[in-house]
Amino acid sequence: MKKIACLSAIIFSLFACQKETDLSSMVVNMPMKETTEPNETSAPTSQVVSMTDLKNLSIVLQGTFTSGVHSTSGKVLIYEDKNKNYSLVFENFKTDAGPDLRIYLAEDKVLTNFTQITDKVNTNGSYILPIPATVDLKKQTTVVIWCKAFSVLFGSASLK
Amino acid sequence: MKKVSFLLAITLFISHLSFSQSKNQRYADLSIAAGSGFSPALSYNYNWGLGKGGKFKIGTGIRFTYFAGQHKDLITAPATLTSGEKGPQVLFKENILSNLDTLHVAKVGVGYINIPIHLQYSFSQKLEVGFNIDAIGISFGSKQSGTFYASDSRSLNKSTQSAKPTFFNALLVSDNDLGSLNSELYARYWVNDKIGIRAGLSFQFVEYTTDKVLTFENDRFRTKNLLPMIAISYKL
Repeated sequence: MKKIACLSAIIFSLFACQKETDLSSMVVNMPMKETTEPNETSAPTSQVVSMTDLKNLSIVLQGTFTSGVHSTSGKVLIYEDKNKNYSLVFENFKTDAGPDLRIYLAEDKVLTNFTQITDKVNTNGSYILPIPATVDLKKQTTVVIWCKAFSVLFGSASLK
Repeated sequence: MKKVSFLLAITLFISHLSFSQSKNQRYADLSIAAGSGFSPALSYNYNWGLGKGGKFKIGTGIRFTYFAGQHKDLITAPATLTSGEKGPQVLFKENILSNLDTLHVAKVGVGYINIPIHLQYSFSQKLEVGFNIDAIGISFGSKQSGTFYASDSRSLNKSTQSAKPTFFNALLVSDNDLGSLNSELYARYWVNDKIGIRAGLSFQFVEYTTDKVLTFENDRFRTKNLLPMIAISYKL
C-alpha cells in the first residue's frame, strides 16, 4: 500500500512540474502522529487533493526560497481553510538531494523554536504539506530546508 | 588461519607484557593545572613497557579531573556545526563562524572521571616525556544559568538559559568529542625510586548541555582550556 502511495506521489509530482501554477495535481503529505521533542511530526503518507480544495482556501503568508549551502529555489505559501487549518504549499520547489533532509517552520533560518513539518522531503516539484496545530504562525514564519545529519542549511524562505 | 595468527599474536603480546614487569610502571598522580581556570586531577595509572628496553610505554588507568572557571564562554560544540563535517577530517577544517553561538556562564564547575590512554618515552631511568588523553567516562556537576548569545536569533539572543555538564564523555577526534576530556603533554623527572615530578600543559574540553534545544538544533556547548600543569607521581 505504501509503495502504491509513493508511486502516486512521484507520478503526481512529475505532473505538477509541468505547469508552474497548476495546483490541480499536488500531493499532500499527511502526518500520522505528532511528537514533542522539540516539535516533530512523523513520516507522512500521501493523498491527492483537487484544485478546488485550494481554490476555497485563502493565502495567509508567502515567500520565495533563497539558497543556503545548496541551491534552493521555488515559492512557498501558507493556505488557511475555514476551519483554521493551515497548509504549506510548495510551488516549483527545487533543492539538491541530501541525507536526512527535513522541512521545518521556525522563527528564523537558525532554527529558533522550530517545528518539523516532514522528514520525507520531495526535493523537486509542487506539493502540499499540512501544518501541525502546534505551529505559531505569528512567530514561526520561516520555512527551512535542513540536513539534520550534517547540520547544513539547504535553503530557507521567509514568509510575509 | 587468520584467527590462529591473531590469537597467537595476542598471546605473544600478553606474555611479553607479563614477562616485562620491571619495564612497567604503576603509579598514582596528583596534578594541578591553573590559568584560565583551576583544575586538579587525581589518577591511577599503569604503563606497559614495549620492546627490549621498555623505553616506549603505553598505558591506561582512571583519572578524576575537576575543572572550575569563572565567566566562561561556552561555544557551539558539535563538529557538524563547527566544521560542517563528521569524522577525523574535522581536525583540518576551519570553523564555520556563522554556525557558532555562545552561552556565557558566570561559573563553571565540572567533575569528570575518565579512562585515559598514555603514551610515554623514557630517555633514562629518571627522565621521560609523555602524552595522555581521556578516552571515555562520565561527568557531573551542578546546573548553571547563563546568557545565550545568538545574533541571528531575535528571540533567543541574550536570553537566559540553563545547562548542566554533558553526562557521557567520549574521545572521537577534535570537535567530534563528546563531553569533558582532559589531555596532558608533559615531562617527568623521577626524584627517587618512588617520587616523580611532572610539568607540562593540560588541554581540557569542558562541555555543558542546555535544558532546551537552541539555535541550529543544538544543545551542546563547550569551552576549551589550555593550562600550565604541575604534578607529583608516586610509584605503587
